[in-house]
Amino acid sequence: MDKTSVLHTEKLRIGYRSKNKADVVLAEGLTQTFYAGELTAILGVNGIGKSTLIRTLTGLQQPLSGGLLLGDQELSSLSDQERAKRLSLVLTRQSAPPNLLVREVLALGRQPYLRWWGKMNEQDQELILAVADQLHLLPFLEKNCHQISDGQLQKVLLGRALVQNTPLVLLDEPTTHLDLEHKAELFLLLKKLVRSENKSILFSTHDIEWALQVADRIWLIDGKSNPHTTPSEFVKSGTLEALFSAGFVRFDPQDERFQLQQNRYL
Amino acid sequence: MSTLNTFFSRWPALIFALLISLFLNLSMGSVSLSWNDLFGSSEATSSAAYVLWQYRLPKALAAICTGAGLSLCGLLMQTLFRNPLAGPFVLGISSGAGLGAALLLLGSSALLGTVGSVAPSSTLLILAGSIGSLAVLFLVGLMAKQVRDTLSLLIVGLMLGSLTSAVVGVLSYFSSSEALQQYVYWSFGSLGGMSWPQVGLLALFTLLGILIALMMIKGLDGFLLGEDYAHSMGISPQKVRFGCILAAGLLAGSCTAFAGPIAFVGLAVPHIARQRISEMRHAQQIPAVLLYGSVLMLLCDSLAQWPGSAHVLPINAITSLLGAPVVIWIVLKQKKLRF
Repeated sequence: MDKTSVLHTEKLRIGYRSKNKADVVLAEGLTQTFYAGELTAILGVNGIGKSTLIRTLTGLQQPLSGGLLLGDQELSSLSDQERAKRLSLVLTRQSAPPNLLVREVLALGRQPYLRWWGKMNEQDQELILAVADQLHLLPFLEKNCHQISDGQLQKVLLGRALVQNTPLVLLDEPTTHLDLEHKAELFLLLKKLVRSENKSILFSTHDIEWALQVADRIWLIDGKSNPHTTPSEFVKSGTLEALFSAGFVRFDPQDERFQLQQNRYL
Repeated sequence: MSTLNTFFSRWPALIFALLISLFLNLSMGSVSLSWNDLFGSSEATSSAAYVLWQYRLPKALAAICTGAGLSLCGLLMQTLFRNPLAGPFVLGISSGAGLGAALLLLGSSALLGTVGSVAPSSTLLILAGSIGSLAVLFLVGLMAKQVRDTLSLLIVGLMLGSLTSAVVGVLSYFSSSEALQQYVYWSFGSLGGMSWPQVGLLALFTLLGILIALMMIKGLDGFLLGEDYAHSMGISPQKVRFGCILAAGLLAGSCTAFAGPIAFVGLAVPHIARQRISEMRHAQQIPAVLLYGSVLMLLCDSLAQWPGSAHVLPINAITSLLGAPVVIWIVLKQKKLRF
């Protein structure tokens, strides 16, 4: 199968500009290509810049330098609407809608395709129903967002991104507030979408064990080399053992699991 | 299809309510009018028609404009700040208009003494009110860029509100009693006594604000999920924020300048509309708040002219007297406000 490049970063340097002081650089030299049909997990410790990276990739924040290609176009050269037809976003649960109906949240995904008064046609409606069906959300369509569980709400927000129908989907820590079962469901759903819809999906997460099981690629943001490899190579490289050597957990490369260092407080 | 169905089952009822309350409003006043007076051939006809045309109709139109305008302003602010407590008053927009009016009414008297205390033309008053509210809105918008968190912004708005009332306090201390009386009278709020050109101007400003809001329907919908989502769905948050601030300034500024600081409507009507119209899309919510706002204001104004009473109660008190129990009732009934 021919690989289509969906996202390419060229010597990307991310962080914050500051007026009086030097720029705060979180990561630099990020050169990577992401293809359709690939699920990529972005890993990294708290505060390393995963969210900043995602905000930069969506154009919410300017990169300090470097290039960002969305398909064959420079991100900054796209209009708001054009960009919204190429990439969609799912944020962490805190910014979830307070009191909209599930159907209304899903319908918002059609925004980039609608004219100013936001009238939808039958195809729009069919797409919403198809996505709701795929995510098993049909019984909840007329429910208020505060009436459903966190797990279902996260699926609704993912559904909104799917209704937006973009080749690239970015998710910022989508599993943070979910219980085990809902985490598993969401990860498997992402995997399925990547296969069946040939999308390119990038998500940041702290669930490293799950990411190793489900992702096609691991992108570790460590502020230095930022390795981008397959999960098996990532495990073999010993990066995780090196990363978690002196703390409260250790990574066991044999069964790809983390072990609590019980004696640390004893 | 379902939207069409709800359209035909709900909107006619609202429009009917608007017509009823308009009729009620026109029929109430210090002079009683009867059908016979209006359409008969007696001598009373011409004087009844004069009262209707010169006093009641302009007042009713002013009520519709201010009710619709303030309600829409409240909706825009609540959507923009994603906060159910937002409204023209909370963010100091109306107090800005009040400051403009005070600077004109009291400032001229304080600075120029009796020479300046000539009653300023209402056009000047409107201009002062609009400039005052736009200035406060500009400040609020500027701070909206600095502090992204809504609660801090609301605090800033409240501070701006007390700042303006402090300035008004200082001004009143130094002004003549006539000017002070003029200002106090203005602050009671009044829909009456407007000439046709003035009502026309108010309607023009209101229509302009409504037009700007209608042009942003899609962007406002995007804001329901917050700015970051709006951006990811192809909406420019800067444009929507600017549009909201402009429309809200026009609406609240002109309403307050023409009719005085009318409390509560801007905050309450969007809540009433949200309970009644289940679609949160602004294509539905905007017409809903316009209609509910007009009806509420017409009813409040009718109450202010309590039949048989020679006195006209201040409209500002009536809106809160009628509006507050309605919102409390909704909260108690729904347990949780839909927002």
